[in-house]
Amino acid sequence: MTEKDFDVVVIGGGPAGMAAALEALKSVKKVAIVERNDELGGILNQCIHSGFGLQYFNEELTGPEYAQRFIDRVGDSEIEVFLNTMVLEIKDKTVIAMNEEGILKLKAKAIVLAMGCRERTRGQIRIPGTRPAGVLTAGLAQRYTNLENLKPGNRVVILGSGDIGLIMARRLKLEGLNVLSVYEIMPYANGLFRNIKNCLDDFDIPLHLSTTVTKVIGSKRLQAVEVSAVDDNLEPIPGTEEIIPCDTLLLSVGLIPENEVSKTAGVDLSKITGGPVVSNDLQTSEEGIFACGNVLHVHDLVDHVTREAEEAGRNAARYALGETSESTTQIPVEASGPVRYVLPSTITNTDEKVELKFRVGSPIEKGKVTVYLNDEPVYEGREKEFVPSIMETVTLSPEKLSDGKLRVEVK
Amino acid sequence: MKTLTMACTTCPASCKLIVKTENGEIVEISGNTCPRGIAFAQKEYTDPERLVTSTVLIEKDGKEFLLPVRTKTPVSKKLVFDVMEDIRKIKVKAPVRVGEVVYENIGNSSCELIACKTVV
Ligand SMILES: Cc1cc2nc3c(=O)[nH]c(=O)nc-3n(C[C@H](O)[C@H](O)[C@H](O)COP(=O)(O)OP(=O)(O)OC[C@H]3O[C@@H](n4cnc5c(N)ncnc54)[C@H](O)[C@@H]3O)c2cc1C
Repeated sequence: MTEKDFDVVVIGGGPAGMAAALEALKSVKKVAIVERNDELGGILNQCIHSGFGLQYFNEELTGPEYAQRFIDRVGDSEIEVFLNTMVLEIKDKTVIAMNEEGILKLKAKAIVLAMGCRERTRGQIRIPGTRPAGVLTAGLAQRYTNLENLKPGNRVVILGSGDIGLIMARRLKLEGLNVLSVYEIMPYANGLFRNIKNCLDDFDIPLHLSTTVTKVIGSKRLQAVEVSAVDDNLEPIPGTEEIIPCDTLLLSVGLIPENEVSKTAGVDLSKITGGPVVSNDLQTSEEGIFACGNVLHVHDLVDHVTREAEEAGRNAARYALGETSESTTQIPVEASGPVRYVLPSTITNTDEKVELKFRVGSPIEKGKVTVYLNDEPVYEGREKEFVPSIMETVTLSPEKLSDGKLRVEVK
Repeated sequence: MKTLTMACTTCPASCKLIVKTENGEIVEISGNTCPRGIAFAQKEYTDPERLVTSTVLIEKDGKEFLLPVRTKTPVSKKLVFDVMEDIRKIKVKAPVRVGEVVYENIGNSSCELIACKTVV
């Protein structure tokens, strides 16, 4: 068994983990990244499309290029990287992991959670029918196509209009597969408008809204799916069934933060985001354990992930150095109305400006965000469109904050 | 008069552009929040361009892997499938550095294909 001491241990070597570790290293000496895969980069390694880095680097990069910039920086630094090493649990500020050589115990003054997210699967959305091969998540299909050189099938139907599904529709079409159509149960598309245009419209792939897959047909291999239109309550309308012959069904039905390890540390999780409940320094309910990136809440832009992770890394280092003082303020932050969630859930430090990140639950064509402190408006945004696929941010300056309760609302 | 919608891809704001045309000419562009939207709409209407991203085979230590690649600049949308056809034929050998040109004039687009990852 290997035992080692660190100032900061980062779990996960995706963009969040790398940025957190690099930033922590600016203030402390001993920083580690633990990654279960054989390379750093996380999900970016399979996101070979472009659209990354426009905000952070001011240029449009592909996922691997964005990752490479951080992989190079980590490689040139003193950060100790443990690859092919899976974290099993966190116990009393010790990260317990396993690799080929056995068990590792990494004792940390502060820990950063950066494990990313995983995809919702068929079980979580309950489609009736048989269990043939050929039904897989869009992310898994992306992994097969872009990393493992495997072809998922020939005639493809996609359920869900999330960005991963849209990106995969284009990718498989370019690879010569027959991408038949995308079905979305909601009356609106979940992915970004630019992806609808560039991934579907460019290739004449139809998008059917308010329609879902109601049956999976086939014994060994998928042979067809049955699709039906749904009513306002998202219930299938009898008589609208249609059989679509296909051998592959991709599910693009959402992501959930990956918090199995967080649970072992006793970190409180939000029922809405599935990620840890954090204060404005990104600290979880467990002192000295911080969270950032998709493990905290699902992000649409990696640029935001990097920024958030840098903050978590900075705060973790500060904690490791014993530079954090007991806070006296506790301002709870609540989401109201169409706002589905707001991060952080409490503000404990009011010396610096505070960034509130939020998402709406359904699209609002024209709305205005207002932040209330004890029912007094302290921030008002301009009128604009709000969609669930885009994370919004509001920055509050310290003088706007005092004891009480914050509420974020869109009207 | 015809109305088209476009997603401006110049920046992450992704403005939804509404373009009105008559006899094959743009008569009105709205929805943009900066002048770049106008330029984008004109280009998108006359000769749309797309960055093509894909993978090619790379050989390292006798084994084959996939190397992510992209066109260095966007290519005419008409040439996207020609670019893909060329991409399928390419095989490179490690070491390769990110940004390195792996193929020139890909799909006769007069554009270079570059590596998106360092493999040593
Ligand atoms: C398909 C797809 C398309 C996207 N498209 C875009 C886009 O066009 N533009 C954009 O800006 N953003 C895009 N994003 C979003 C962006 O890529 C992600 O938000 C970002 O990569 C998340 O970074 P992360 O570090 O939090 O998570 P990840 O990249 O998932 O990294 C988490 C890492 O933690 C490791 N890990 C997990 N558990 C353990 C454990 N127990 N022990 C050890 N290691 C562990 C994992 O192996 C992984 O490497 C896309 C995301 C996806 C999934």
